[in-house]
Amino acid sequence: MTPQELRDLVIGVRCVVLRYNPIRFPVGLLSSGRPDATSPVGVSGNYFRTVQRLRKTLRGIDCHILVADSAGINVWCAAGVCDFNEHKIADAVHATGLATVVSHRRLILPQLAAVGVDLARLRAESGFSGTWGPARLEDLPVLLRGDGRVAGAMRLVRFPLADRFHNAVGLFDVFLLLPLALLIFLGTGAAAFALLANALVIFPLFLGYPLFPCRYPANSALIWGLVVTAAVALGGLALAPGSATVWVSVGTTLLAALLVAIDMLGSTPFYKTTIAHWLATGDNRSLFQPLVLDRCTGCGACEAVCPKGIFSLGTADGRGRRAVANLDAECCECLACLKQCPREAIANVHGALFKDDIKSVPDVARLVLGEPQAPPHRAIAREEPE
Amino acid sequence: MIVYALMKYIEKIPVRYDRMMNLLTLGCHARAHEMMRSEIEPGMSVLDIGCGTGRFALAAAAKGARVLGVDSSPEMLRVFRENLLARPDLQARVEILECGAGSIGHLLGERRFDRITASLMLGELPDLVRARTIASAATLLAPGGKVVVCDEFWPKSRWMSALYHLLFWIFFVPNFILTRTLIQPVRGFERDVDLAGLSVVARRELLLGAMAVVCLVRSGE
Ligand SMILES: C[S@@+](CC[C@H](N)C(=O)[O-])C[C@H]1O[C@@H](n2cnc3c(N)ncnc32)[C@H](O)[C@@H]1O
Ligand code: SF4
Ligand code: SF4
Repeated sequence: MTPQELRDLVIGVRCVVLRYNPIRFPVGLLSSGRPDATSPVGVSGNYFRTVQRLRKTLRGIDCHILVADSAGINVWCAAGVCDFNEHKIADAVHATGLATVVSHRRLILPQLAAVGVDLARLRAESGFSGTWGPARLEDLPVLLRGDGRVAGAMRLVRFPLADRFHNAVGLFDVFLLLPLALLIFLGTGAAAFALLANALVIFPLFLGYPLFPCRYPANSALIWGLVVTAAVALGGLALAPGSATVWVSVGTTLLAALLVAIDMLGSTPFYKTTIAHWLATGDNRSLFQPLVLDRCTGCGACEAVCPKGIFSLGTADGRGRRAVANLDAECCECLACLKQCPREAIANVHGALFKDDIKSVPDVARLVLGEPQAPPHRAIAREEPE
Repeated sequence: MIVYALMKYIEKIPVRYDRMMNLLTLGCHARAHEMMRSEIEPGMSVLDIGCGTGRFALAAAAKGARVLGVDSSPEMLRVFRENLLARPDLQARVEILECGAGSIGHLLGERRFDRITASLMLGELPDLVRARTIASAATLLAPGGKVVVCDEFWPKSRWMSALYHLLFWIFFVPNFILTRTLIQPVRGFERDVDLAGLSVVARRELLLGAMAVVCLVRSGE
């Protein structure tokens, strides 16, 4: 192992273990292989591990990597809260003098940033046009080598084991607060119990997710949480009957299970729904379901950014090419389609009823209702002096 | 869930932003703005970079300046626009532009400003973007103009530097919750200023030197 590889490994582990205290890769322009003025430019956020993975994946491919500020976190989350948008990309373009490095004016953007990036404004502000790359950086080489284009499965977001593991570690870290509190107030026994219970609730659930029988992950989380809680109760009663510690442990396990279930309502690539809706119906599906309006021109922008493959382009009932939404697929309410549709032709089947936690879509309240833009205020005609 | 709670909280941040900022800086935020405002005179054209909720921009406009506020956060600017609506008397003198600080040189091209201000924003910028922003500010400055910066600056002494590192580790969580971004004291400011062809003409410290208001002019002016 070279010192560089060792360093990368240490930083990689540090990123996973302290997930919510991310390391930022410096904003700048990196070279992969031996790029020249005509080589493509791929844009990345500045979560350290992403840039590391990107460099590894692109080894041997001649291209430029433009690292833009995403507050040190993944672009999907950052884009939804306005931390990664056209301004951050334009900042990186100008700060690196990209226009003097390459002769073309094209940027390949991470598809998952689509909910935050306005392409027209990006062009105006940076002088570069953006096109959407694949959802996962592992698919970038195909595009960069020119062997193919982004289509079909390359646009779908997945939740592979490695990502689930990282997610679980992050959650486990956050939940360390519980055992820590117990350690202070009730001593090591209760803390150790709570620690074990947390690990038992969180890890099997995330790692073994596909094995759970429930259709919705929040329900799996709750049921699994109850199983672990029962085990903790029985174990505790057998080991230390009548001790208050046992009941505290049961309580904290139950709490952890609930919190993990709630986390499954929108903090993972799964569906996104409100706590109230889930509690009332046990249904974890997103309340947002795209409704394609007649204004649709079939431009395909929604199809290009949807990470769940909801849209296809068809020629329904002789009305010309337009987007067709397959509502059986599982929308995750990322709102990328809403952000990117140039015709404001996507509304919500359920109208104003949705989780509404995405901050980067201006006018979202109007768009979901399918209302056209209000006509500009008619100027009150002023009397001109004769 | 904790992440969810955090998001809920952050969602409301721009609205509470000003009060929070003053609290975080033990009231120095307001004092710093007062110092910056003393550099503004009626009729001046002012560019406020990272204007946020517009607190300083509005104060400058109230003093009779024409102000262009620039910020990359639509949420912050939404609050700014609301604040501006409440001040019809200032509307004619205040302009808002949503863009990144690194793009001002590109977007504002030929425009020139008598005062270019940046309050507690340079610390949010990545090194390269900060250097570019300061360089752009130097080009956008009208003859005889001044750049006025208010920020926390990373201490030069090694002990203080170590102490800062420690404090940042300890305060990471509340800092992140309250401000969402990791605001860091500005490092390498002198070099950026030098490369931009600017020189420091005044420096007033606050909070025992942790914060400072710095005035810059084009070198040789
Ligand atoms: C801590 S606030 C300061 C706001 C205001 N100047 C004040 O003193 O109250 C920092 C501001 O900088 C803005 N900002 C951060 N990065 C930026 C960038 N790259 N370009 C433009 N503005 C940016 C943020 O949106 C935020 O409004
Ligand atoms: S982006 Fe809008 S206009 Fe384009 S195909 Fe999709 S729904 Fe139709
Ligand atoms: S249909 Fe659903 S998953 Fe697809 S882009 Fe729109 S909001 Fe996202």
